[in-house]
Amino acid sequence: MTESPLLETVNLVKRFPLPRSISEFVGGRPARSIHAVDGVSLTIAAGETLGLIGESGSGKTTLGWALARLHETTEGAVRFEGEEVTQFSGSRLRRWRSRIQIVFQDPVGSLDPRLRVWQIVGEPIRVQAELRRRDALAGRRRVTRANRAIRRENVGNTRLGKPLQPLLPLPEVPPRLGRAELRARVRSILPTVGLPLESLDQYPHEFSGGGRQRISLARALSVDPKLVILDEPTSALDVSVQAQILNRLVELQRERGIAFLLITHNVAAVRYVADRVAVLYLGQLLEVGEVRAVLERPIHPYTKALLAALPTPDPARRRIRYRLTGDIPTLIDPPPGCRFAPRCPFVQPACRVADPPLRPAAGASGHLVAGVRAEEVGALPPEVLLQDARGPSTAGPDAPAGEGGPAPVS
Amino acid sequence: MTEPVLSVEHLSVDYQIATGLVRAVDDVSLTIPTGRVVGIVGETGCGKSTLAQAIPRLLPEPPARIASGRIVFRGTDLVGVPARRLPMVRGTGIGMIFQEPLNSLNPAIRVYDQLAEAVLIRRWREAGILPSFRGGPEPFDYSHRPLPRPSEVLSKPVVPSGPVAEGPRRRLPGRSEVRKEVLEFLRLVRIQDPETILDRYPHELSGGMRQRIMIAMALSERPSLLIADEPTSALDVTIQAQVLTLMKELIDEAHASILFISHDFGVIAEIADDLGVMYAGRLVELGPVAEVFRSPRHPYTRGLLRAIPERYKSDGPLAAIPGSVPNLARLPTGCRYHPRCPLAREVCRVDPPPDLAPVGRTAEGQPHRSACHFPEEVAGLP
Repeated sequence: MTESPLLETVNLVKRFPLPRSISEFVGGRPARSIHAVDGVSLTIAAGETLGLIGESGSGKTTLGWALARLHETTEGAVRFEGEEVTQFSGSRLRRWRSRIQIVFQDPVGSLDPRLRVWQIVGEPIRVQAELRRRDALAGRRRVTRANRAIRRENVGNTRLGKPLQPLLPLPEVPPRLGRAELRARVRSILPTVGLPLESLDQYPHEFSGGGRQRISLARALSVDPKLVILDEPTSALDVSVQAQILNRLVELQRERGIAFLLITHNVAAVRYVADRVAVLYLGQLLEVGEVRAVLERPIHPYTKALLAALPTPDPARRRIRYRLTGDIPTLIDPPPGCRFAPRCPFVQPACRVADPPLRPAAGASGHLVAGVRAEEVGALPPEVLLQDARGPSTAGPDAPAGEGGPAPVS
Repeated sequence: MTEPVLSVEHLSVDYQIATGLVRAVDDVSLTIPTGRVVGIVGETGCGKSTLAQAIPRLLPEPPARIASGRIVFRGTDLVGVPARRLPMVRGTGIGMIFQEPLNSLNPAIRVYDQLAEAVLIRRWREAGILPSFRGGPEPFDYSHRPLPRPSEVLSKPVVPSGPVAEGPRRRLPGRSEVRKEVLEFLRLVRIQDPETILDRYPHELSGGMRQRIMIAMALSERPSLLIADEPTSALDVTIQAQVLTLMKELIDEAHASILFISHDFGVIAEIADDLGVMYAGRLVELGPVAEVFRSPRHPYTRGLLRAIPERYKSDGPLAAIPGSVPNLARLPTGCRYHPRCPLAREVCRVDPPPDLAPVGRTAEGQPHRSACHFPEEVAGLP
């Protein structure tokens, strides 16, 4: 990847401060916060699909919202086509929004029940058209002002017998987008997501879950974005309808070269749609790589556990799983070190010292992994992984000592 | 084979809506043998949940109404049981696990009290203080003594005095005994340090925890049939794996019979022994789970199985089923699946398919049934 990526985040952090209780306030203790996204660095190239997988509470949705500037980020940078978007504001921000769109998780809550489909899908078009018109009007005002100054100067110039300065041409202002034109624009979008033209004047409640998801998708595509963030686009759908939507996504990408960030806990959907996969756990990336590499040869123990927990639709292959014990721990001011350490069967003292940085995995190009002993664990035979106990970590402490632990984190 | 725990015979359930009646479950028959797990799959709106709730008669009547059929549970037809007797069947007879544990646990009651209530009711039924369900032609045991005052129940053990009906009567459990039993059930669902969560409210627990509490609650009444309606759909895969493993272990330990509703074929493949597939209110295929997965005999089942994304995009598009589940108020003529079916021909548009008929048998002699005009041609589909 030599060309600059479409979107790049550097050490993105999003914390939600918790209200301080009176005793904390009086006691002078610092405010606590929820570390929803904690130092995420990732890239999305133009026209590719990055699948972001993780359990609920891992910060997937927060990350997606932060990328679309629906959350203000606490620290770190988000660069879109080389521009730092965390500093955008006003009309610059609103114009940028036509390049990044989001399909929200809840297809019921994210569609206004009182608007018809053409109004819902047409809203981004209308907003962007108004923005362009407003910018054009502002430009024309600037030109008019400049021309006024030129005319004044020209009065002096005629007296002095100097040649006249030409007036600047007035820029074109796009006409207001009329209802008929907006409807026509929406009509041309509906077939691309597989909605019938009759649905133009229907309300969201008249659609099934799959239909609503198509409306959401049409709305996101209406302004020709470069990147669409899909937040659990199929989690509310049945497999039959899910397959329709996933096929449509892949076709759209092929036709238009849109990049997708597919946020989901549905590994099967990621396998089918994504080019690369990032695994998020408690706000930190644990593994990033090509979809086949990550799903077929995972390195990080968490990825292995997550994939092993997937039920396989084949009754002949029921098996004992490599089970994760315990639930996801709290995100309120978590201790330093690998977030996965409390659940990891292979935990080492070094894991609890500092956050393991995402680093290229040994022997696999383009495959990034966080974790002290990741490769070593990845190389273990599956029987060892199937053991539920923490046996392997205590039984084999000889190897990691030789590796000298992780490089100190800056 | 022993008598099945439950046998549903030609059950139809209607909903009264503004424009008339809608048949959500249409002529469904299935049996659940003792110790077996029967899975039901189908898309949203196929009547899976209506079936699950109709069996313990949990549907609000009206708008729902059991139009016809029998629900024979341990020899008693539940359709004929008057509404005020139904609570006796539920709990100790049929236990339920719902999809969203946060909505089905009482948010204002601590974990301990919710579980203790279930334990107490069972113990009272066993002790003959509450009427209980025993199945058969005379299903209800009314030879109970009235409920003692709460102080009496909680402070000292009550020894039944006066005339006692036949059968062994147990003394009432004391407070510590109930607590011990609650802890036992929490440990049974693999909750570590159950003491620490007894005083918590449901919202303070994670989703997996809540679902385990639901399961503990259902099990603590020792039901002979457990109905699980999408019990793992709201959970993350790692937690889902824990809950499924737990349920599998419990099936082996408690020899429970389970009706397991899900839309996830992966989950069904893990847990079920038999599999029923529902479409638009009807059962279209029923058979041993391995058999249905290996050689489906209904195009709908095959379509669902083929739609599961198990490939990369470089491998070509997924086989989606075109269209969507029909509105039950406007069902197509003939076979309900014909507008989406690749095998559909004239007869499918006109004639409804035959009732669920055996189309094959496994090596063990278990029938594999399908309701399709052309069950033999399903295997030949591309």
